[in-house]
Amino acid sequence: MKLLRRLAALLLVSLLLVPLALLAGSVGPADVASALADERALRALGVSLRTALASLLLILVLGTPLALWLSRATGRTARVVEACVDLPVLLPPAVAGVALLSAFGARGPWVALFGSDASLAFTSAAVILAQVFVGSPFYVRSATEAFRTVDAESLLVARSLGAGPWRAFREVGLPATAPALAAGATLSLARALGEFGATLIFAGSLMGRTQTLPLAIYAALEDDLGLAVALSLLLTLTALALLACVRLLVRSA
Amino acid sequence: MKWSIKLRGTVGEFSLDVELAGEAVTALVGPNGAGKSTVLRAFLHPPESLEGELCLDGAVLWGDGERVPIEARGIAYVGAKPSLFPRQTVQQNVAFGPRMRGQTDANARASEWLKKLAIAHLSERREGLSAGELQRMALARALASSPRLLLLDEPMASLDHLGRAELRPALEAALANVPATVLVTHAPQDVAAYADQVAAIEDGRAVQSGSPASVQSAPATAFLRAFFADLEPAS
Repeated sequence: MKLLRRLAALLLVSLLLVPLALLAGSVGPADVASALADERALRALGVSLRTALASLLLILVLGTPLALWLSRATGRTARVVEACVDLPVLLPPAVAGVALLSAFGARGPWVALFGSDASLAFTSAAVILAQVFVGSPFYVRSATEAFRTVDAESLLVARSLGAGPWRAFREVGLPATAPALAAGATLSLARALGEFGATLIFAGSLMGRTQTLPLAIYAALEDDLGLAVALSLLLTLTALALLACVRLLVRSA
Repeated sequence: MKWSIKLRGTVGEFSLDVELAGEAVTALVGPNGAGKSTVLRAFLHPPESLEGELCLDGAVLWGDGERVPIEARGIAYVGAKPSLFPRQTVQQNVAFGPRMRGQTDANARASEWLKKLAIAHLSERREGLSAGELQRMALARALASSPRLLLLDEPMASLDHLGRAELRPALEAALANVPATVLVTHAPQDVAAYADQVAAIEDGRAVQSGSPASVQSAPATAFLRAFFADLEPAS
């Protein structure tokens, strides 16, 4: 029994680690360097960095007030909204893409309201929207949980001692929640950077405009497997670098 | 400094209808669940379901369309179980008030209060304070902000005998240094020792107020009779 259990565990761990090890082993620094010299790779890297950071910013700016409200509100509306916020995690990315396309695409209500020039489909904005859509639940969820742990009485005491609402939150609420916020932001960023399905459907794969690194990998698979592998490593390194930056930023703040 | 508060409405299932006033040190007494803590917190943050008015030193702080922000009222609050602001030392906690008010000598003021309340040796701690030390820290934190009115919610309740004995001098220093205090308490001897006035509430209603001696000599309810029964007769 014990042996069987260990075997099962080992099997899953190998499934998780062996492909990654093979990927890392199959490319050397030279491959990454040559990938970086490839124009397609550079432009995809640029698109990925721009859109993922813009998405993260949007998620933080819009998600923080939402999480604050969710953590404080006790009504039924808040519970329904809270459940809906988690929905994108359960939804297959392809479904998310179709949903976004029908909302903001040529035949959606967005165009009906703002005219056919306003269609967002196949633009950089579409890439960002898709990333925010799939990425925000991670941040909102952990921020909501973190804000729930903030002691309401401490906030009130801080207010009574002369701190305005925002100052009290920053000085007394934030320090205790920063690690959870960083963890949430990290997950959201990772999800945004890796976004593929919804982006492909809603934003397409236009080089230099909407083709992010994951989409460039998919495109490269058709004619240049070596490039695809090198791009994969590049994406992994980019993700690690961005995540390290987020951690550092939060720690210093 | 005189204050008065009117509160009317329901909080959850609890209905409240009180008018209280006081000055100097006012002891707010009453049985468990009478609404003492609700009234005390309402000085800072009245539940939205309540209407009423809070006046301090002749000015309306909230009520009747008026609402002075919490941070501008000069009212400090010390709860029954205070805690340190997260990731701040005791010194930083006590300097918080003066710092928020832009006082450049915030740290010096904090040190002074830490010394007065005999917790200077704890100034660099961020955690691990005993209940009594937390009370003294919270008192110092409140006093350093130079409040006009100090609200104390059963400061002795979570302490053992030794803790109470240690807190007494700090409490006395606090009461001597603020123009007005509202002290919620379950201890008749604290009323006798510290209070200039008593305000009693039961079941969300004000039942009696006056000097400790007058309330003790003619208690209006069974609770108050029992409350003062253990004390020596007022002289």
